[in-house]
Amino acid sequence: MASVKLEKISKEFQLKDGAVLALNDVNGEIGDREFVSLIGPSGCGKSTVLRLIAGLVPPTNGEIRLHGLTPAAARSQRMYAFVFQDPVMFPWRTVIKNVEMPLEVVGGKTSKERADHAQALLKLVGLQGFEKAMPNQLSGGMKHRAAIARALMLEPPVLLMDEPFGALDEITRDRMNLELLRIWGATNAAVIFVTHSIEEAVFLSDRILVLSPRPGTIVADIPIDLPRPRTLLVKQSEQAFNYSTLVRKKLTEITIAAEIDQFGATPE
Amino acid sequence: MERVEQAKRKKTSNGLTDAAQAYGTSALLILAVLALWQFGIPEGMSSALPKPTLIAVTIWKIAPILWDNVLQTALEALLGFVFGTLAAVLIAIGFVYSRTVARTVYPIAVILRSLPLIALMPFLVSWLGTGIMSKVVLAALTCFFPTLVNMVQGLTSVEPQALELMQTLNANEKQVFWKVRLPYALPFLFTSFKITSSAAVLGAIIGEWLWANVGLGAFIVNAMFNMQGPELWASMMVATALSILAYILAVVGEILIVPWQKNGPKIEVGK
Repeated sequence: MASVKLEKISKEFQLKDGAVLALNDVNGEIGDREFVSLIGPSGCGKSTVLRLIAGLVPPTNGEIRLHGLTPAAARSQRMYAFVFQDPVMFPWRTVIKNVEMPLEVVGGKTSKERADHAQALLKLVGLQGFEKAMPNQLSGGMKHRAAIARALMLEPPVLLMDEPFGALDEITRDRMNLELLRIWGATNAAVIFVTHSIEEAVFLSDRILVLSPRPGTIVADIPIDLPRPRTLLVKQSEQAFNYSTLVRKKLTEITIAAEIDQFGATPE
Repeated sequence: MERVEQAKRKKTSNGLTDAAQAYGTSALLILAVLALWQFGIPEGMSSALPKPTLIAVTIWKIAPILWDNVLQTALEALLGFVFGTLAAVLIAIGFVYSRTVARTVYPIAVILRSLPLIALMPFLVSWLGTGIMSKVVLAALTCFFPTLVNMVQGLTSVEPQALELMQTLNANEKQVFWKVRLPYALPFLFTSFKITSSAAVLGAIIGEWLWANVGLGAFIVNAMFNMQGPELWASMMVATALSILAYILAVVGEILIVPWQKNGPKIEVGK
């Protein structure tokens, strides 16, 4: 069964000077435990796709299902967790208290149970020893680890990640990618990962969905058949390089096509 | 681990001791002014401007009487501060959750703030009598507006992503309020306390100044009309000290209760 299903999604935003069609006829299916990246030029609406799945905004047309449920129903059953580009740590809470937040909101567990669970997750993301630290004492990468631990707190079957490492430097980002794969391996979650980095998408994903410029629609669905577990050696491999080239080519094609649409073909 | 320890050490040394160091120079300057005052003023002017030593001796001599007056003023200021803050916080919460409340109350709050407090006092006295209540209300009014403005700002300027996070967790409005909005607004509240703590003292003194038998304000007026220069200065010094004490309490409260404020009131986002 698909964990997330998108059928004929379109999204129009009402602005002051008229409506803008952000997404048009987006279809797709993400399987259980699948790692799928959404990639596309900036402004193509890839973040909007995630926000639609999370039910943070309603679609103009079309249907979204998470394990057969509407986004609102899926949210009340805590079937997904959202990881933002900003780690969104509350500065008045210790790291462990930040991680405990989702379980606090759901309720029904003792504070001991909450703390134990959060502790185990902090260990999983490599933050043991930092339970009592305040967020402003953590580096950028560490805050993202804490944010991932928090997202895993309710063991969601779907993880929605909106450019989670977009603000990190490249070295930290590479390390976080490896960590994310390791953490993902320890869970049963499907991941939908929005990024603008081709190499990151190739390295992480089972499949890459390429979105066209506005109005965004899925123009390519590229399975990434690289061996797992993925190591930095896999990342350096010729195969990975070829996949990156393929995705880059596709992105260039659609960008040029969009420009021709907009300005007309330039005569030779 | 090591990193955490380091950071902790940094945190404690940044708090109260830092403040003490920073104000060291300021204290030296005050001492210099006092010295100039003590030794630099010609003898003939000493009735209008009594020497610091004479003021100190006067404070010592009339301490028991001053103390009773200080207690009265402090009580009025404290009650006014508590009621003014409570009213402002509750109304600010109303603002955030209801546009109607905001539209109805805000203009009234602005009018209230624009009323000259001294002109208001006769009305307060005629409604509430010459006792403690009229002063408490005046002190409360001086506290109300700064707290209202700061609290509304604190409650409404939470980072949208923090609210979205709570939305994805399916948190209800009550949880969003207690777990995000209120703690987020606390540093804003303490910012306003730095103004309103001493403003409450000032409000109480103004109230007494116009209509009272006890309190520092009443004492100041008495000393003035009886041409008691040293007593006048003594009571002014004590009033200033009370005001400063109120401010210091607000600052200490801020350091202890909202230590994350140092790095700005923002919710931590990536760097």
